[in-house]
Amino acid sequence: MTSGLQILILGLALGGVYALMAIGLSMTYGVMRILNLSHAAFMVLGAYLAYWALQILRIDPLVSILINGPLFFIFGIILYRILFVPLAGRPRYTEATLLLSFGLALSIEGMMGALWTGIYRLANPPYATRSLAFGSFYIPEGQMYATAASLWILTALWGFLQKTRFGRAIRATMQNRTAAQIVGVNVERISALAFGLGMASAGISGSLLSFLFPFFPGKHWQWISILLSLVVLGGMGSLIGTVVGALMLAVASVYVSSILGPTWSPATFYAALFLVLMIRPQGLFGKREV
Amino acid sequence: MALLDQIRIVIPHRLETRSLILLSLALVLFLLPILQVVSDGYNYVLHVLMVIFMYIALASGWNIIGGYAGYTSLGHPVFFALGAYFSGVLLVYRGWSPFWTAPIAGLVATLFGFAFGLVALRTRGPAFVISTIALLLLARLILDNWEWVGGSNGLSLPMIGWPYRLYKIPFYYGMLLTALLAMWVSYRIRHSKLGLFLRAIAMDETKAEVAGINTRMCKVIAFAISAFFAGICGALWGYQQTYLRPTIFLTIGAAADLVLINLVGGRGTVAGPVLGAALRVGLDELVVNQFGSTELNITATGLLMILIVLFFPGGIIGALRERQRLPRLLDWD
Amino acid sequence: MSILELEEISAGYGMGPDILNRVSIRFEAGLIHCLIGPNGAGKSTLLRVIAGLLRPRSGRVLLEGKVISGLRPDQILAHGICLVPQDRSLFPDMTVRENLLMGGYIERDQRQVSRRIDEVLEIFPEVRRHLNHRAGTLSGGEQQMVAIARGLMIHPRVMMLDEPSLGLAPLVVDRIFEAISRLKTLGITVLIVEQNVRKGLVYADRGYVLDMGHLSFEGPAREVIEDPRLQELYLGRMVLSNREGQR
Repeated sequence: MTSGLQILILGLALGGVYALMAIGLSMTYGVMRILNLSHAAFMVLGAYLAYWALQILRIDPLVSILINGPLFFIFGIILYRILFVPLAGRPRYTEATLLLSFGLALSIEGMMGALWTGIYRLANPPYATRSLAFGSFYIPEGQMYATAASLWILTALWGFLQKTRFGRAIRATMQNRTAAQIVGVNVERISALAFGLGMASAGISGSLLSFLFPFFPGKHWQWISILLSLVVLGGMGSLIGTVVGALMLAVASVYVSSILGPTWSPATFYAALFLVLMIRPQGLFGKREV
Repeated sequence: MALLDQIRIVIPHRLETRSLILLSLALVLFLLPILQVVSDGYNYVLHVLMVIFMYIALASGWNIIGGYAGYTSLGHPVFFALGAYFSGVLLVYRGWSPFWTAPIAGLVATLFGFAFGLVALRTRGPAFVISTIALLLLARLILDNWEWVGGSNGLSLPMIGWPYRLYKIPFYYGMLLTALLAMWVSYRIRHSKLGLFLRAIAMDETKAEVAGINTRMCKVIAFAISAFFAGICGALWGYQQTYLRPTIFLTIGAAADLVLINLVGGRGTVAGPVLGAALRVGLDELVVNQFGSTELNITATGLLMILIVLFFPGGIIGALRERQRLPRLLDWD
Repeated sequence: MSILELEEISAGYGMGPDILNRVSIRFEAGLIHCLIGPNGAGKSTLLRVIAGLLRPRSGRVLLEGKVISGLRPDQILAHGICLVPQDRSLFPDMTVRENLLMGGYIERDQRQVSRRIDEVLEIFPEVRRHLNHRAGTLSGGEQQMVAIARGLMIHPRVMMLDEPSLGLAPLVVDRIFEAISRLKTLGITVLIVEQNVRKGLVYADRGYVLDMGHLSFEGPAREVIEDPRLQELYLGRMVLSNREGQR
């Protein structure tokens, strides 16, 4: 049994990482109404790349962020142009995107399994096994670096969205797509940009995932449902909601884990999802009907 | 043709050729086990057909919510597992035969589907599919850790007490009847008011609501009916396998199967899931079992899904109908 | 000299029927034009076609003799044609200042954009005190003002307003139309779609009556108000819709 404050510290640290993992998912839905079920599959792919970068090239997972980010960004834009642009204008567009990304997730999962088998991996940089103590509290060193990196990237993203022309265009498209077109936003280009950013966040999250949590190809299903749960809790398409949802559920899951054991910590997210659908289906910060 | 004409005289109702062909096909399927009784060696054929029947029932059931209403569910393996564990536990602890408890297992799945649907179908659109993934993973987590039903090691069931030569036959008939029931229900719903409402929901839920349709109830009922068939199939399949294990029921791959079968055949049509199921099992027997690589299987499933969504969103039935090449034999809508 | 010209435009949505049926209209530079007609006549569709939000099925739109139909909305905007749609289409979670910034989105030079904001605030001083409020919190009239101000950010040559008076109190409607008259003094060509026929035509120079996807008739606004065909069009419809209401 851990003390309440310790749980809060660990939970918030974890929540920072979850927020980064989910932010791209939320943005992709908000800007384009694409429900990207392959988001976590790309995250796991990013984790594999970071893992092999460490094993073979001795590149630290934190450094591999600098590789994964741009790589997945470009890959995302290509993917968007090839797979999602042809769906534009389809009736029941979101449904089509979710089926398409479902297929994409399965393809990537199978490919990863064929390449790297199904065994559990965990990157092991020197700081992964160390812990830092602050008085009577502790925090794993790797977790601290991951959280710091997440917060730094989230802040950069926030600044980009608030202060730059393209960032504002992304927010505008999220709030009202037609209005964005009316003021001259090329929504197709902005969508590609947002999708690329979403994928970049998946790749970067993968780098962090590689040394925080053991992973194997099929693991992404658990991740995607965890991430989607907190996106629904926050309100689909609300970026602030996603961050708040991530922090809340991370703390709750650490708490559950300290009582029932780590096996049951994913159940926190599923239970929260059902509760949200029962009590407030539009989520904490959602306005329009989902 | 002469024979068909004669039958037409014997049967008082006016029957089209199409119905006659389908009825004779059903008759052949009903009589087929006689071959196995007379001379051994047909167990493999019976087994493959049984699996096809099962997928027909599962996919036709899925189609009611996933096709007619357009709400993709990845949670159907949960109902399948629910049926299997319900009947399996009664068999192990009470000795009741799953052949009698299967319909009850179906009803239990229906009730559970209704309750879950009331929560998950409150909203429009993508929140539902998210909740079904969560349901699947939660069920997996629970069954993996619930020792009374064997946990992740699973539960062994006693074998059916029939001689080896005949033991496939009751399962064959069980699945055949379930498949016929599923097809009949699917057809009836397609041509009912509920079916009309469901298709209205698929096209534009807001408009359907404005038109005065209680969309939530329609969706929940469709989802519950759809769970029924998964429950029955689970009960029979588990007994047939003689063991229950979370890994064989509760996987995303199993959920993907149902989606893919419907996508290939044609979502929202009566014949689509039937065609898709036959193709899925047939291909599996011909190709996949030769190579037997699960990774390739998953990749192929995924790629196929992408290609269909991009190029043939209506599946085989939809593509044929669009080109006005759909044979009458397959036009069941 | 006509600034904007529609040639035989037909348009509709998705697989649906033609909403506009071979409509040809000329709009004169520097005037206020008011499009009127019963519900479903195709007025909003016409504006959407000009703005490039809806591609016409046939026909052309010309701006000073150059074809602009087929261009993307942002390209048409760059030609100086802006639309203020019926729902105002503000960005509800952005401040009014951010909405104005977005109005100048196609201008890449940010200093130029801030200068434009100052200009626009001079024309619409009433917007200034809301600059830091979220657009979604403003009243309907205030939102309409902001929407018009946002449209001005690109120094438009043509501004199209879809039912600017919709859902507003009579006093507020007067303020909006007074603001629209200010646009004319800036030399902007104005196209208004109006349900409020009398009000729209009083402020307009020319009136255009659309019915069932056709241009029924047109003329100087003062003459259109008096035209018996106008009363026939609206009264006839009223009788019909009353009868349907009773059923």
